[in-house]
Amino acid sequence: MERVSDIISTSVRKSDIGLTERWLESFGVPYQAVVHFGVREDPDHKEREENLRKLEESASQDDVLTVLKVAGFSRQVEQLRQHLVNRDAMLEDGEYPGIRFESLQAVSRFLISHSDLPFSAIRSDYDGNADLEWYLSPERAEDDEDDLFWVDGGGQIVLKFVTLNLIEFAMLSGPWLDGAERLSLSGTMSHSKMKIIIEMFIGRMVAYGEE
Amino acid sequence: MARNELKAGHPVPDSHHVARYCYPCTVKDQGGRKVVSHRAFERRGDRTADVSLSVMEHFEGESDSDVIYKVCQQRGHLQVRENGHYVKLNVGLIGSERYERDRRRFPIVFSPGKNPAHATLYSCGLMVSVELATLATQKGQFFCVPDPIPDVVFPD
Repeated sequence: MERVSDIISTSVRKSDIGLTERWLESFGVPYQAVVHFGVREDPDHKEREENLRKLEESASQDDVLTVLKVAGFSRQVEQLRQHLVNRDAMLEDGEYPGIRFESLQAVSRFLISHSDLPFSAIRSDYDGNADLEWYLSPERAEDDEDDLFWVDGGGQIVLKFVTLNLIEFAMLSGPWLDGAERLSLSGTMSHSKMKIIIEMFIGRMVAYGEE
Repeated sequence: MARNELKAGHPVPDSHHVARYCYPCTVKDQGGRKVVSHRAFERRGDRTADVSLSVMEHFEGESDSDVIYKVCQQRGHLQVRENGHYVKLNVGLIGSERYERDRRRFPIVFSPGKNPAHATLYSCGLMVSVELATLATQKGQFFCVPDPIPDVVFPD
């Protein structure tokens, strides 16, 4: 049986825009909500684009954090502010460079662009690079017996934002268990390529301290 | 006692154990077990690409807790917190966790200095931090920071 979404996409491909618009309206679907080949346009798209534009125009760390907060990441912003304060108090002068502006901009852009990701706190390393990390849930692995590389879960994914466009990443599907094969990926990727890799694991990614 | 097997500049034997201090925000309870962040195994503050560890067998003590107390005394300028943890790992297990090639090229080397039990894991890339954190989550033994926190002991 043909699904409504198939009919919509076929209809759009025929590119009789006026007819298609009327036809879709008869289903109660605004034409603007449909893009080519039947993919629904994200209703938050415009807001996201606006936030990304503001992010690019940001001139200071506070500007970036404000945009991030407006975009719905206030938990990350509050935790990052607290983290920076704690770290300043904990380390000696000159030992920690803070968080690099370019890296903060990059991690913010990634979060705003991929708002479907599970929560991850933003932290930074001793070179000032922002990073995100997720735990790969063993419980969810049990539901996925067919996955050869999953082992029993318990691995991690870490993304480190080394430049505005490049992400250093490391991903381990699980701990070493008597030589069982596991997936171990690391390298440097552009933001868009990184999204493809992340999407392979997104169903298993959970925030630290949460299940 | 395996202490005699430790020689400066040489790999730490697989039978030994190392301890690493983890900041509070890098160890979390998840479903009743401790999950360690890769951030616990990133380098700290200096400019060399390595992970600092303490060899537990260097110290004498009746229990692991006694030894952790002595490890904590040798922390130098590292600021430990009451709610932080030490994680104990077997050196042989760390080797198993890592790829054989990397294990041979970058062993854990005994490198005493201000901390007489200090050992170094060289070549600390992002993947090494992830490997160690994954191993610590799976096989690590966790110890609370001694209460009260002992004063630092500097060598003469």
